[in-house]
Amino acid sequence: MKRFIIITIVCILGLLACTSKNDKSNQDTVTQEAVPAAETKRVEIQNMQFNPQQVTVAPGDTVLFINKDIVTHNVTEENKAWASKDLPTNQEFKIKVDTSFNYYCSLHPVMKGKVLVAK
Amino acid sequence: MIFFVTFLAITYSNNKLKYKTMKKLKNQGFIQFVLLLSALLFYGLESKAQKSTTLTDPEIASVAVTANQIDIDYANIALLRSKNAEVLNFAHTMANDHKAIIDQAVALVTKLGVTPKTNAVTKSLLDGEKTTIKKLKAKKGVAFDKAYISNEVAYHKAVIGAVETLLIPQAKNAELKALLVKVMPALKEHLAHAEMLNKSINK
Repeated sequence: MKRFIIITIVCILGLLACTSKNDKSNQDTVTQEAVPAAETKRVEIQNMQFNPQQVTVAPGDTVLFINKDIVTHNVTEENKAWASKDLPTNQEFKIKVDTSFNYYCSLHPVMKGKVLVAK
Repeated sequence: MIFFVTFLAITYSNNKLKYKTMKKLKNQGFIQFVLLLSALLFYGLESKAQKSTTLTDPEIASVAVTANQIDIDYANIALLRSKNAEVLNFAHTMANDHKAIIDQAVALVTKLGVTPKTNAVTKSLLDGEKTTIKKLKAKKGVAFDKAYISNEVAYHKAVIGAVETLLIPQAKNAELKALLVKVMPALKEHLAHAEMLNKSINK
């Protein structure tokens, strides 16, 4: 009788362990589907314009600015909260985005752009 | 500009009375003609004059490099004289951008084996630069800032007009023409930036 009880307990514990593992595996799958991988959106600086002038991203995405113009530019947040270094031709600047912002080139203040974060 | 043309016409007719010999009259008339033609060319008022003025590619290269160098010269004066942060920022940008344009032009003419050739338009630009520099150096403080920025507005308007209506249409080499087209957005942004500053410092 004692042996039977022990075997039964071991079997129950074994079944519980398997069930728990499967549940965890399912949870992982669900989590991966809910949070898509972060993307990188590209903004080219050309002909004295940010192109596209407005880009919409998801939280956590990265925006890559690349200067394809013949003169140096930069990317400066409109309230000067942050700024890239000056970017000569073909130089890049990356920023991970969590909130929307407006920006401009402080060397050429007529040049403006916007990054919108879709919630 | 109408005032300037009228002034030249009056000056010309006065000179007719003033100068006794035909030789002097011819010389003076030629100088006035060159001044008038240059003014018309660079302020885009007389399309007929532009059509009758032809420039070769080496001459166009000379005009382009000279026009850019002149704006660098103005910027260097502003960097020494101005204390206004926005004016200094603008002057830094002008010096750097026009240097970058000259570098592109020099690289192209070197590749093409073209030697820029001085011509009447180049000389006229340089004469205008001398007069402007004299005026700028006579001013200080806010008066200097206003004069510098006001000149930048007028100068960029004139250069844009000349590049669009004279240099681009007359450039024969495709790469030279493409470079002239390529610099237009920068020139237009400079004009918009100068106009923006002109408003803010004249408030």
